[in-house]
This record gives sequence, C-alpha cells and structure tokens, in this order.
Amino acid sequence: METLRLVASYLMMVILAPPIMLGIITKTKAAVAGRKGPPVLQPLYDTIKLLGKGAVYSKTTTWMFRLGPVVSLAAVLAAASLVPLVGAPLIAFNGDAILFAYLFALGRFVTVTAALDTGSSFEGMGASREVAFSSLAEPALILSFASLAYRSGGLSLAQMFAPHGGPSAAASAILALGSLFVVLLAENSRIPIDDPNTHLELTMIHEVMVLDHGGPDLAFILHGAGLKLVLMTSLLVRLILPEMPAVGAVGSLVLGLAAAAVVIGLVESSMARLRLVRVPQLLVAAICAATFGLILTLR
Amino acid sequence: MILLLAAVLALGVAAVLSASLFRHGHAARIIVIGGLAAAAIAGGALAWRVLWGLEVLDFIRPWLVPGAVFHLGIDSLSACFLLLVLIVGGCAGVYGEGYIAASHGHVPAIPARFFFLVLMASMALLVGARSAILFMVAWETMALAAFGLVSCEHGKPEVRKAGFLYLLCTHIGSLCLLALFALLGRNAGSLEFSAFAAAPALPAAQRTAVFVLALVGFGMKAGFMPLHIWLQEAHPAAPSHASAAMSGVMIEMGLYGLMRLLALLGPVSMPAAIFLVALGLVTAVFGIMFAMVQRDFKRLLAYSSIENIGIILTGVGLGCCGLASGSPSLALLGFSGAILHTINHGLFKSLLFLSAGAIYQAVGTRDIEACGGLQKSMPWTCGLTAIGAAAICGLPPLNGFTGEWLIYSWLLRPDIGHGMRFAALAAAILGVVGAFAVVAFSKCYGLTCLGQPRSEAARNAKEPSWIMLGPMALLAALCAIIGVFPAPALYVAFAAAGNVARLARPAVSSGLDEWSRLLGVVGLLGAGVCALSALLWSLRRSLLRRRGVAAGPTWGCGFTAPTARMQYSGASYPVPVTRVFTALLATQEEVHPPLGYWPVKASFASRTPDPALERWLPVLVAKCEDWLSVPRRLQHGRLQLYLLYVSAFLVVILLWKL
Repeated sequence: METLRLVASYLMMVILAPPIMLGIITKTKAAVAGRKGPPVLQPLYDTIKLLGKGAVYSKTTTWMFRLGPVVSLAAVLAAASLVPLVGAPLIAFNGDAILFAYLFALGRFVTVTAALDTGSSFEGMGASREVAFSSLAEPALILSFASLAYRSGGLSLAQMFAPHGGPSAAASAILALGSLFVVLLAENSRIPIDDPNTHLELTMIHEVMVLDHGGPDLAFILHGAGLKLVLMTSLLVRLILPEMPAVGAVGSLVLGLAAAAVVIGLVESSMARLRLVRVPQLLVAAICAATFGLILTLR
Repeated sequence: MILLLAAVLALGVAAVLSASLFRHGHAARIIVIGGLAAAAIAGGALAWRVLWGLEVLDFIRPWLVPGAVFHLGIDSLSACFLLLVLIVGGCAGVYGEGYIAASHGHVPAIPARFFFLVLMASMALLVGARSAILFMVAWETMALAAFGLVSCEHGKPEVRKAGFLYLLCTHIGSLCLLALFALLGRNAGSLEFSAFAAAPALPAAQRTAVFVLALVGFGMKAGFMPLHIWLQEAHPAAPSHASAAMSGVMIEMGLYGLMRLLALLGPVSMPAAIFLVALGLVTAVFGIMFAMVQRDFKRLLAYSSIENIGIILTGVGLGCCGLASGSPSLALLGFSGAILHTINHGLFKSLLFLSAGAIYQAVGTRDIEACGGLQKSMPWTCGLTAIGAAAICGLPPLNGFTGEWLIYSWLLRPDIGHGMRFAALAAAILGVVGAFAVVAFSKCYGLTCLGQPRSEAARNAKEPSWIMLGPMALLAALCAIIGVFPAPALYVAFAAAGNVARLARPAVSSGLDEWSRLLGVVGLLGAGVCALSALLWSLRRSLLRRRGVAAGPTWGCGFTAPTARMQYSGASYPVPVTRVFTALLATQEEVHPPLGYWPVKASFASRTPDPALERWLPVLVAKCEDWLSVPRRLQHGRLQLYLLYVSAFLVVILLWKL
C-alpha cells in the first residue's frame, strides 16, 4: 500500500510538475514584461493537443528519427526514479549520481542523432552546439557532484542533495549550487545559454534540433525537456531548502520548484542570450566555481 | 592445459593449411572458420574451468631452447584475456571471410587468412606464456603477424608507409622488453616468471628502470600517448577484420603485459601509480580530441582506441594507487574497472571496425564527407553501428557504461582520504572524455549513416552478406547483454583483478558481492530504460494509428531547394569544441574566401596533423641523426669489413673473458 502510494504520487509529480513549472516561468516573464501571459497550465494543454495530432515525417529520416524522442523521454523518466521527488527516491544506491549524469547523456545522444537524421543543416548546427556545450558542462556537473559527495559521505543523489550542517560545508555547497545552476541553464537550454522562444533558427541550440518533430514525438520531447528541468531544479531546491514540517516533504519541494521557476523567469527577463562564443566562457567559470567548492572540502 | 595447446595448434594448423593445401574457395573458408571454432571451443572450455572451476593450471615441459623450459600457465587474468581473444578474434575471423570474398581481390586472401590466424594463435599463446623466452616468442610472432596484416594491401604507398612505421615502433617496444626481461632475469637467475616473482626486490634504480622499460615496451603496443604514433596509421591501412582484431585485442595485450608484470612484481610506489593515472588521462583526452577532428572514419576509430586505452590505463593506475595506499578494496576496484573496460572495449571497438569495413566496401571510401544516408540502404549495418557508437560513448543500457562506472566509483568515493580527493579532478577529466566521445561518435555515426547521401556511391550502397552481419550482430548482442546483465562480466573482471592485485579468494569475492549488487541495479535501470522505451514506442504507435502520418521534405527553414551538399559537414560538426582547444589541436586551415563582387572560386580545407608523429618525432629524429653522424661512418656497406667487425668483436670478447 505504502509503495503504491509512493508510485502514485511519483507519477503525479512526473506528469504534472514539468508543464506547471514551465507555465510559471512563462507567467513570470509575462508579468515582468507587463503582459497577462498564457495560463499556467498552457504547456499541459499543448502536450495533450500534440498527443492527439498526427505527424509528418521527412522522407530523409529513418527509424532513428522516430526513436529519438521515445528514448530520450525514457532516459529522463529513468533518471526521475533516482531523484527524491516525493521525499524519497524510487531507487537509490551508491553511485546513482553518475548514472543520473549518463542517462542525460543518453537522452542527448539520441536527440542529436535524431536531429542529424533529418539531413538539415540547421539541425546539424544545433546538434553540433548541443554536444559542444554539454561537454563543457559535464566537468562542472561531476566536480559539483564530487564536492557534494565528500560533504555528505555518500555518492547517492538522495544523500548528496540534502542540507548538511557546518559553515564550511555551506560554503562548498554554495559554490556547487552556483555551478550547478549554470549547468541547469545549459542543459535545459535556458537564457543566457539558449533561448527557447527565439524565432531565428541560426541562433537556437535545442529548439533547432527538434524542428522536424511533430505530434506525439514533439509532445514527448517537450515533456522530457520539462521533466529534465524539474529534476535538476528539485535537486538544487533540496540542497538549499530544508524540509518544512508544515507542508511536508512534497509540499516543500513543490513550493521550492515554484520559487525556482520564478527565479528562472526573472533571470530570463533580465538578460539577453549570450553570444555563442561567450557560452564556453560561462561554462568554464562554472567549472572553476565547482573546483573551488571541491578545494574547500579538501581540508 | 592441453586445451590451450589444442587451441593454439588448431589456429596454427588452420593457418598453414589455408596458406598451402586449401588456398581457394569453400575449402579455405571452412578451414578458417573450423580452426576458429575449434580454438574457441577448446579455449572457452579452458577459460570456464579456470574462471568458474577456480583451477590454476600449469604445464611445464623441457624445451630445446637453451636456458628455457616450455612453461604454460593459466590463471584468471590469462583466462579473461584468452576469452576476449577468442570471442573478438573469432567474430572478426568469420567476418573476414565475407570481407575477403566481397573485396573482389583487393584484399589478398592468402596472406590475410594466414597472418590473421597466426596473430590469433600467438595471442592465445602469449596469455599462457609463463617464461620470458616463450613470452617473447609469442610477442614477436604477434608483432610480425600484425605487420603482415597491416601491409596486406601493399600496393598502396600509404599502406607500405604505415606498415614500416608499425614495424619500427613494435621493434623499439620489443627491444625495451628484451632489456626488461634481461634485467629481471639477471636478478632472479632464471627467465621463468615464477622466478621473477620469488626473486629478492630490485634496488631502487633498477626498479625505476624496470618501470620505464615496461611502460615503453608495453606502452608502444598499447598506444600510450606519445607512443601511439603507429596506431592511427596502421589501423586504417589494415583490412577491417584485422583492424578489429588489432584494435579490439592486440593493443590490449600491451595492458595485459603490464598487468602480468604487476601480478609478478607486486605494487609500484605511489608516485609511479599517480603517474600511471596521469598518463592514462592524458592519453584519453588526447585520443578523443584527435578522434573528433578526423574525416577518415577508420582513423577516427583508431584515435578512439587510444582514448579507451587511456581509460583502461587510468583504471590500472587507480588499482596501483589502491595497492600503494594499502587498500585492497580500492586496488580491486581499480583493476576490475580496467579489466571490465578492456572486455567492453574489445567488443564495441571490434564491432565498430567491422561495420566500418562493411561501409568502406559498400561506399568505396573511408571519408565521412562522402557518406551519409546509409541507414536507408544498409539498415542492418547502420543499426549495429548505432549500438556500437552508443556503447563506446558509455551510455547506460550498454556495456560501455559498466566499466566506466566502476572507475568513477573509485574516483568519487566519498570515504576516500582527504589527500586523495584530488581524484575528483580525474573524474571530471573522465567526464570530459565521455562527453567528447559523444561528439566524436555522434559525428561518426550521424554523418556517415544518417541524413542524405553525399555521393553517388553512398546512394547505391548495398548491405553486406550475412557472413559479415552475423558476427557484428553477435558482438552487438554481447554489448547489450553485458550492459543490462553485467554480473558474469564483472565476475570475470574481479577474478582477473584479484590476480593482478595478488589478493586471496575471500577478499575478491566479498568485493565482488558488493559491486555486483550495485552494478546489478545499474543494469536493472538500463533494462528499465529499454522497457520504458518499448512502452512509449507502443503508445506512440497507437496514438499515430488513429491519426494520419504523412511524408514530406525536411523543413528547410524557408529555403525550398536544399541539396545533400548543404548538410552539416563532418569538418564543421566538432568546431564549437575544437575552437576552445585550438592551442592543443593546432588545426591547419587553408582558406580561400570568395573575393570581389562576382566571386568564382572559393575553398576551405582543414587538417589536424598528429603532433607526436608530425611535429615532435621529426625533431627527435633530426637530433638522433646529429648524434649518430660519427658512428655512421662505420656503416659503409662493404661486407668484408663487416665480417672483420664481427671477428674483431669476438676476439675482444674472448680476451675479456680470459
């Protein structure tokens, strides 16, 4: 019974949290710009609409193009089982943090190859940028994981991403947090690294790779991207936000996610996308921050 | 032990028969496949007995060679490598029959068969050799057989060049090994491996000499940076099934040698262990960065072999760190990660080389820029390539992840001592290597197999015969099985690692229990990804069944007449990464931009030369020529005077002994 409830609440989080979070980001941006903006649940309506639509496939494409959205969503779903979304994760073991990082890499690999399958030069360009920037984000991610693992004494996400005492631990956690926030923006194609709402294919990274997808495939991609954002954000939220007894584990996570969505919305409203040549510099800065965080744990 | 001899003999006899009595047609094919199968059965049974029956076998007979006995022995480490040789080599050999037949005479059948079987036999003998002389005999046979394979198509000048470069390198390596065994033999008073192990510890200076000699001798074969110079030249030159066996197992024999030496001589010091880790990481980063920028896909694969050798060496170094710091569990973890990755690399790299061969035969070029769109015409080959590419990137439901995960687990151990926490930096470098592998292999697979055909040959490509696809499918299946169900491979890796770390059985099995439980969960989640994918796939199908599915052109962003040549090219694909590392890669670009109002001609060419081969080696060679200009006067080509040298030398030696 307990397991059933856990799984049910997990499913609720996995299905509902991504569209709502994206909705809040859009709403925040609209509010800052003085617009009313679409309803918070608009991304969910979009997904449902897309699931009911047919699809148009390019004659150039093969099964890889069709497999891409499916496997990338499956990889993110598997990664979700490692993240404590309802107080505890479905599966936790020593070393699951590395699996988490590599499941995202799997998602990236299939998305990139699906993009190359179209033979479009724009999608090739997006693929090329995606693999380049993610390979610079990778060391920042692993170094932050390392300092969090040393701080908490376990290489499991549930253990690593929890408040742990001590001011020196806090300092390293803050550096890891900063670094991971940049990684989050990069991995989820947000401003200042990528602009999900841009209308010029030449400047896009993630969105340009999925230009040719439509119908259920696009629904899978959009939901997977949202879920990826939720997963990484909820890890960061758990790192800084202690569990509030008044609302329980799930409640505090949901509140934290909403707050994080507002922060992301504010970041996106207050700055423009970086020039592409500047993106590696930002990511290298994230690597440096993570290295400093690691050095602080060395004492 | 008779089984090992039977396996070697089966391969040797098949080699001789295929080159003498049964040279042509079906008879030759049956001989080769029969020899490989017989060797696989005999060797497999032997490996089974050693690995799961926990026997350690020894076989000693007198030998005609002065000062040596014929000593064979099989422990878990040998059995593990024997299994790898027979599986990978067997698949490559069967494929080779199809490859030779489909090459219509481009690959000379008789030397290709003969040298391949000799290579197999020598590797099987090598892992069993327990005396330095037998080891060197097997080692040299292996080196020469590989030379024969590399120079199979010796009509082409670049093949001859690659062959001689390889021959030179392998002999420098062998020279170091001879010196190494001489040093060890003098200390032990015998050239038996068991005597090496029992001998008193060497003085410090000699220990350093042994370490350096072993590193150069074995590293030359394995391809440690900067000793890799022959690798990226030889692998593209050899026929594909030979490259698969060379890259999948032969270069790993260098690591076998290193681990065998560790098992004999015991732990190295901490600085030496850290040096090994650093060398491994440098090799890995270097290999994958140069893999990214290649446009010949077999060269790309060769550079990626350097990368994987680097990862394995990192694991070996970590094992040595564990030994040096007195922690058997860390030693076991490092070595088992290295050995598991060795097994995995053998499987996916040979798979990729085999599919590269199939694509090369179908398109007639190894140039990525001339391929594209092959997945339509060669669905099986390209599907298997996709599996290999995902596996080599270390992506979860496949085997590549398991070995890397063990190495990561070593590096990111939270309970590691404060001083060792710098290991996290190594983990970050490994992360970069993994991400760069995604760049290299999404390029290799994506631009070769996907998109639109970039040439007429690519448009008309044909699927290879089943005799070529079958072995590839077997290798791909093994990649998937180890990824989802890693327990047996992990067992083998731990048993072999126990030999390297010289640990007793109970210590090994307690470590195995811990890690196979954790890796079991990893495999389970990998299976979960597969199951979820299947579920989502059927959901997608049922959703689409109700609505229409239409076909159209690729969205050209408003441009209505895109051509295949406008696709993203292999040269531009890795540029966002390579721009960041310009200083390291030193890519040479030749740009003639369009000029004037009505430009007629514009061109762009880029090339990334290997720094060790094309920048550092010429300097070294020039220096050596300077130094050797005086003694060179002795080398004048007059035979009579040479004979005089010999007799003078003999007289001097005799006088000295008197």
